[in-house]
Amino acid sequence: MKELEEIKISVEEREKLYFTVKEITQDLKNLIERKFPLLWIEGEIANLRYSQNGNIYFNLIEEEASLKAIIFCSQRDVVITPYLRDGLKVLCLGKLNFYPRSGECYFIVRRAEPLGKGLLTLKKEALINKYKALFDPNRKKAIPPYPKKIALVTSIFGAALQDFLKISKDRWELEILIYPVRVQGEGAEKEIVQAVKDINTYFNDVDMIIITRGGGSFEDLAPFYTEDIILGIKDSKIPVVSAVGHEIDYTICDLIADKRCATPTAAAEEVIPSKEEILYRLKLYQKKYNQLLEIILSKGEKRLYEAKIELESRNPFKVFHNLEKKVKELSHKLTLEMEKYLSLKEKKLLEIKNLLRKRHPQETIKLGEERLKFFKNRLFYSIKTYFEKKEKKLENLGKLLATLSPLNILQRGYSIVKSYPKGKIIKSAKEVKNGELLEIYLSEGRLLVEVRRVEE
Amino acid sequence: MIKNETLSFESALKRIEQILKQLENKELDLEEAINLYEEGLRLIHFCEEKLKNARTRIEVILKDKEGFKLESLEKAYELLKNGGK
Repeated sequence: MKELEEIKISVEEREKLYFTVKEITQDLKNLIERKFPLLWIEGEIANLRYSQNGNIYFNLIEEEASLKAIIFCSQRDVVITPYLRDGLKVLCLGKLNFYPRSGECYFIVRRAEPLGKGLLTLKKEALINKYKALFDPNRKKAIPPYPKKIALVTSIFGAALQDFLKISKDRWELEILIYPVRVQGEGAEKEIVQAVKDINTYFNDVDMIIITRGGGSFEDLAPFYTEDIILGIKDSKIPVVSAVGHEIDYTICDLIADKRCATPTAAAEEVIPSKEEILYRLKLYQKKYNQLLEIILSKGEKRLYEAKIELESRNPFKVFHNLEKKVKELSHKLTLEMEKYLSLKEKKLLEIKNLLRKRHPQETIKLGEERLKFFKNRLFYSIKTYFEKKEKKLENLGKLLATLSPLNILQRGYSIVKSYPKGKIIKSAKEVKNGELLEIYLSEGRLLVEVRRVEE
Repeated sequence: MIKNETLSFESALKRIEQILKQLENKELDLEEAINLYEEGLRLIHFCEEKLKNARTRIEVILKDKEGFKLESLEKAYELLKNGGK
């Protein structure tokens, strides 16, 4: 605010000094053109248009800023101009011109370089777009796996050839034809295309054509990014292998070729079979053959062995032998069993016999006899003992009797009086009457007496 | 069975691989297996012989007004030295 007011004051205070339009525009022109002789400006192309006079107009923009730019027809950079398009970021070399007539400032572009993607990429994209159908993988010819003759399209002085030959030397039974061409610089693509054509026409027994060169700058590789290359290779009857320089980038030549290899060395390794490798493979095959045959043989052997076992098990002799053995076994067993049975029966019989024997009548008789004898003896002894006992008793009793015998008493002078003939012992005088006869028993002899008186 | 005289390396190798596949069939008849095995070994031997002698020959195609001629690499190198190809 303060500044503004100061300006206001100074404007009012000063004398009114002014420029004419012509003057100021001229001053501006001088200022600008002197300050910026030749300069690089980076920006994005917008509002691109081609005028009828051949000039190209566009704006270089960056966010909110914009600068008008012209490529004059006389200064048209032949390489880049076809690829300019809106939105492309470019680095432009040129001069700032102020046009007093229109009061506009233009950037007169003398050279333009694409930023981000390189020019070759742009060319590539444009060509790919144009010939899209030709890059179809289905269009590509198969590379013969075991070539006999190949043609190399390359510079005879290049490292690519040396690299390729180093790998391919005696790698395979192979004839290598070298078709020398330039692989860089103006018109190199035409030589390459001619080579492909010549080989197709005059050396059609070649199994494949290998176009190769080592890495290089974008300019060096430019021939491989041309439309000529596409058109020259697309109709080759012989499969084409491209091994051009860069590992990472695919050139147009790489894309149109039937096979792409990263480097000349890689091409030699991939396209030419290695005899060492094949020999190794053959050894491996032989080993596998042996293994497989062994498997088949061992399988056969196993079957044979099984059949043998099976056959043996059905051998009539063996069957017979086995049966015989079995019969023997059974008969042995039978004998054993029989013997066992018989012995058992025999034992039983013996037992019965014994039992029977024990019950034989003779036995009973004998036993009875024995018993009888026993009892007889017993009886005899019993009786004997009994008699002896009785005799003894009798003797004792006799003795006792003898002691007790009235006779004994008689001997001592006593006598026994008995009635006569009745024999009744008279103990009292009353029992007797006068005149009765009495018998008197004396110790020795008897007396028959007659009673004469009875005294009581 | 392929006759050796007319046999190309490529077809021999193919046949070798084919035989390998056939032999992998474990149900193969023993006699047939032995025949295949023998054929395979013969072919392997044939290929090995071919490979042992494998050499690369290098020639350069030179184009002039009269047409094409083939030269050794050394000679072509000398001839082209001044041409700069």
